[in-house]
Amino acid sequence: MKILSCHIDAFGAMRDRSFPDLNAPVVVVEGSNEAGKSTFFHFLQTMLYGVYPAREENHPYAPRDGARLGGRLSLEAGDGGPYTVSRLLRSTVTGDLAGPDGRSEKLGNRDVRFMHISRDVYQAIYALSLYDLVALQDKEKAWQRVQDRLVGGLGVDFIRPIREVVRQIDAEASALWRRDLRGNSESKQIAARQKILNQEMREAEARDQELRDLTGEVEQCKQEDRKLRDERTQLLADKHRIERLRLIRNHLQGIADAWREAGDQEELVDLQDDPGATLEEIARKIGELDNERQQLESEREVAGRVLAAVEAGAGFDLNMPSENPYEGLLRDRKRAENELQGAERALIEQARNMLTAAWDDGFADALERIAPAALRERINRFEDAQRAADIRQQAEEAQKQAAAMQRAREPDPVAVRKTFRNQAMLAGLFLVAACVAGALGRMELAIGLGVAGAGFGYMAWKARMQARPAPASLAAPFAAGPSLEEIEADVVARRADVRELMAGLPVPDSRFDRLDMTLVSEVRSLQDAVGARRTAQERLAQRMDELQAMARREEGRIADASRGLAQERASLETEQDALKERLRELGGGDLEEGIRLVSARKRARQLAETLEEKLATDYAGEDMAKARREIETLDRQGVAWDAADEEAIAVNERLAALDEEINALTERRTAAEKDIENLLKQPTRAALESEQEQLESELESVEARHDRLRLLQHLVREADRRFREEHQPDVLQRASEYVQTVTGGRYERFDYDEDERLRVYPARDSQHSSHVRPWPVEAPLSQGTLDQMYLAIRFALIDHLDEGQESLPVFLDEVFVNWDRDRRARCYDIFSEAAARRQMFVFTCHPWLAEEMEQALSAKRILL
Amino acid sequence: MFRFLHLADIHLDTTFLCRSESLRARLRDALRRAFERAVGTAIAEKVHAVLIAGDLFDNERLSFVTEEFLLEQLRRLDAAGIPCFYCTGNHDPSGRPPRSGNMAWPGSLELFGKSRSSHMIRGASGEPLACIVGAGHKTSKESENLAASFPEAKSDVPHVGLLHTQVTSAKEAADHDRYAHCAVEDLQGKGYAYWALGHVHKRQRVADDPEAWYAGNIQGRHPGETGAKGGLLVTIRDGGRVETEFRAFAPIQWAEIVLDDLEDAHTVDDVRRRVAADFSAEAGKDTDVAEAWMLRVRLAGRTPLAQELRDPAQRQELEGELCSALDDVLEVEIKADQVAPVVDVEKHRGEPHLLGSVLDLLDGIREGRENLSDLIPPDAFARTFESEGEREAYLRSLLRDLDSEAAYRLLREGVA
Repeated sequence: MKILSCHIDAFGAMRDRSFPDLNAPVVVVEGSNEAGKSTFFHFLQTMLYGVYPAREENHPYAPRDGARLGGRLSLEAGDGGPYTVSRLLRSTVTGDLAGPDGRSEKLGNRDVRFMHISRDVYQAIYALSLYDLVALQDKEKAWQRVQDRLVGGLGVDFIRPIREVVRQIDAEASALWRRDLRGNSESKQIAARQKILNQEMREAEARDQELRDLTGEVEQCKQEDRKLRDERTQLLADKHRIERLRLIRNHLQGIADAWREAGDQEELVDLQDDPGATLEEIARKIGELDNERQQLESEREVAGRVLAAVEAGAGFDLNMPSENPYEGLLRDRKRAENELQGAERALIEQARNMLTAAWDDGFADALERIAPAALRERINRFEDAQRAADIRQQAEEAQKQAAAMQRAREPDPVAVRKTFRNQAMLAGLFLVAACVAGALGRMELAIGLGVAGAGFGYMAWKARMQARPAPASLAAPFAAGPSLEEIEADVVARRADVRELMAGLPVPDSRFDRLDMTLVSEVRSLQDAVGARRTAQERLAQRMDELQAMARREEGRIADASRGLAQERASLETEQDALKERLRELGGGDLEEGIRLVSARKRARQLAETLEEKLATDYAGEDMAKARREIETLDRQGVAWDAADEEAIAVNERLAALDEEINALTERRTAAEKDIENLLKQPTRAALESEQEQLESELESVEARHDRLRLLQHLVREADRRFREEHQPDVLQRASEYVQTVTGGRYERFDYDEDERLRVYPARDSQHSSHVRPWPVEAPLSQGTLDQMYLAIRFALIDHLDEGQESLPVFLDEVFVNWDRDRRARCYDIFSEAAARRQMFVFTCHPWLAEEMEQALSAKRILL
Repeated sequence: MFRFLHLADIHLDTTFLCRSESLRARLRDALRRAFERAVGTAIAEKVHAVLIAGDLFDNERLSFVTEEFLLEQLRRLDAAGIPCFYCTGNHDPSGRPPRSGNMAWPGSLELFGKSRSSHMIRGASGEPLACIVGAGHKTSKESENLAASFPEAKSDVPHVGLLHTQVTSAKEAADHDRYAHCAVEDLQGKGYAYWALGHVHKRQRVADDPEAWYAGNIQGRHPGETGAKGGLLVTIRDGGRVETEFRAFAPIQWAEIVLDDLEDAHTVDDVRRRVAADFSAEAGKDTDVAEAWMLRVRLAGRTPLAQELRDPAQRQELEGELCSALDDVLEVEIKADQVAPVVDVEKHRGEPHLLGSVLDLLDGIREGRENLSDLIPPDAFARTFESEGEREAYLRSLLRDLDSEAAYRLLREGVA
């Protein structure tokens, strides 16, 4: 296939560019940097393979000015026909392939059918860049990679080297599982844990058996423990029963002993529990009776003295005992006596004030007869009479004196008026002066003047009064009514009435001259004093009567009490005698022995009763009859009631032994339970097997991952082997032809050694033809030779790919820029050889290189 | 009417598959609680009997403590006057080691051990309620078709067959060992009202005429045993109509979520959201809400996160985050062995380079043009196989998404 021409409508920065003459075996595309060499190369590729990416916004060469990416390319195919490819990028890519017969084929975005390999592979193999050759400068690994890529991968650069891939898969797989068990693969780690788990499972089984054994042992311990505890319980029950019955038995025995000592209590039924005390009690009572009798005598004597004093009416200094029944009455009597004395003193005093003689009880009747109301009335009448007489008398004298004075000293009315006027004027002047002095602040002067003014005023008033005429009554005579004498006689009569009422009392006469109501008061006071004295006398008499009555009652009581005491004493003496006699009889004539004997028997009876009560209280719930029977049975069995008995000792020893055995069992059981507790914390076989299964599952997963990787590894190797078998001989054959041509026969052919290293065979030497030895394609071969070999293999590879297909054009981008002339010259031989079979495009920015290639390869130069 | 509780595959002291010992301990405890609940339900419902269709415990693992627990629970039934009928299974066979035969069972427990037998259950006044016919496994690898030997019902009294068997047509039967296997036909034609079966852990009705049920196990043991677990409360009405009612007993429920379409998941958070949404839907399926969940997330297929999800540290971090975020989830385990990077494999297929060659080889294997056994030496793999067929099947299982894996590894970084 050969590209004949092209037209770029729009691609990158290029617009409407035509390249009409590209029809040459070698085309050198010349242009400075940024001139568009790369754009041109991609345009050609786009025309052949389609637009990628197929979206304008993502395409690196999509025009930014709104133009549509597109263009045309004319080519000559192997069938000789010219074809024209046109493509345009809109929302989708449209493409057409117009053939020599004028028919057009819709391409869409597909590649042109002459492109028999993929775009990626084409780009990787048919486009040779400076980098591909620069990489050869790495002496160490360059050719290894070249071999892998050119021969192993047929030159594609996007496939990782087979060795690297296989090594990586092998490493990953080996990290998972290794047959030789070297290293520390995951499967080995799992296997190690499984081994441990197997051991642990055996231990778990042993533990489970141990658990069963221990549980059985615990159960056995419990059973033995129950048995021992039952025995101990029985022994303790028997022991406690004996102890309990022993106490009851002791009680019963004590009661029996007490009753035995008490004897027949019937014969002592009449005796007190302590006859000695009874006797002492009787004696004490007799003594008390004697004391009481003495007391009564004393009281009787007091009563007698009181009666004597009462009868005597005086002399009450009785020297009474501190406590006596008369004390209150005597105190009352004394109080009454004092009151009487006071009343008498008041009477005497009152009488002395009123009477001319000292008080005599003989006046009492006269005084009693005076009724104060009557006395008041009579005195009123007297006073009325006296007042009438006085008025009459005074009136008459006043009449007389008035007449005389009127006559003798009747004043001159003119003089009086003159005097009045003068003095009134003086009074006015002084008062005015006083006011002035007061207004001036001369208070003393004002007061003096005021007083003088007042004096003159008074005198003026007096003169005025003198100037008045005398009253007519004074001047008028008593024309009607009794006469003065009659009135005075009435006064005398009234006084006599009063005197009459007071008759019997030594009242002085002068007291009747001027009678008034004070007399009534005096009489009443005297009467009151007499009354008070009488009341006091009566109260005193009453007290005396009371004293006398009490004394007499006391005498009666004392007499009665004395009689009772005497009787009681006699009775006690009788009882005492009888008791003594009884006791002497019981004591064999000895009173004291009798007392002791009776007391002892009585105490024994009390003890027996007390013990019986205590027994009933302490053993309230006890069936005493049953207990007695049990005691009798045990007595008959000869049971050891005493703890010191051999049998009791044996029981105690057995109990102690049982305790020890129980403790030992408890310890054994506790230890077993502790062991069980610890064992239960350990994993069971099921738990361990779960982990084992989990590990097996993980191992399965690891193995599967390993096996998948191994499968892949083997498949990659197998594919590589087949690939090499399919392609390598032809490639090497073609490469050998190239290298033979370009080296002028110095090297003949390539092959691989057993390590798959590329070797080259030098031409046979006629002398040492049987000793030709291949050289590894690497240093110390010269760089120029290595370059030739690389290009030989590269073009051989391209030829191999094109075998039976279209010979596709090759693109070379500045591949020689760094080479010297000699090195370039050798490669031009390769190019010439290759150009005979396919079109070659060489891109360069160096005009000298373009010129050189034009001359060396008859290349057509295209200037961008 | 005859009413009983059908239990099976209790597997006391069984193993549990999860990574943490504390969780395994919790699951062991959950199993005991499930059995306690079952016994409590039987007592509360006043059933006439409890039927246990084998694998009551795992013979070789049954610890002394668990044995004590088991007997205590059975004594509860005994005290409540509920007889228990128990046939042995392959995990608790009556032969060697004779664990079930040596235990101090309460008097009301009827053990169907070495030979087939029957037992008539009578009501309070002595009237016959049902006849239980059962047979146990003698060994841990019982090969005899025990169902075939069950006698025909000879009276109108409802007959209930009690058997630990693998009904070959049952769902997930292949996941269990083929012991005492039988066909559905072996259960039919004998005049039985109900077959109380054990062995297959997935609860299911095996046949409807007569009713034959696997009760399933009462507590899931690993991520494969998902869904609510418990027992069946069965009522056989007068006239023979059978009613079954599932009762959940498992406190902890397993769930598995498979995400194999993660090509559009670009962040770990996307995965987290997907898991949360799927778990929410899964948890809402059952009305018997579990107290707690064990969740396994199986990731597969191509995903841009393949590298992150393959990294154990990142996976562990995601597991922790999910465990915290999801309610009542005790553990989240993420399996990411099957994830593969997102690579455009197709564009490299048939290309003249090594990857093209590898893909061609893989296609050849899948299409049968290539023989895996010829390509890979037998000692290359860790796994050992009993047969070539097993090996082939295993290797083929490894081929899933190996194209992407090969491309991922062969292509340089950044090339897709």
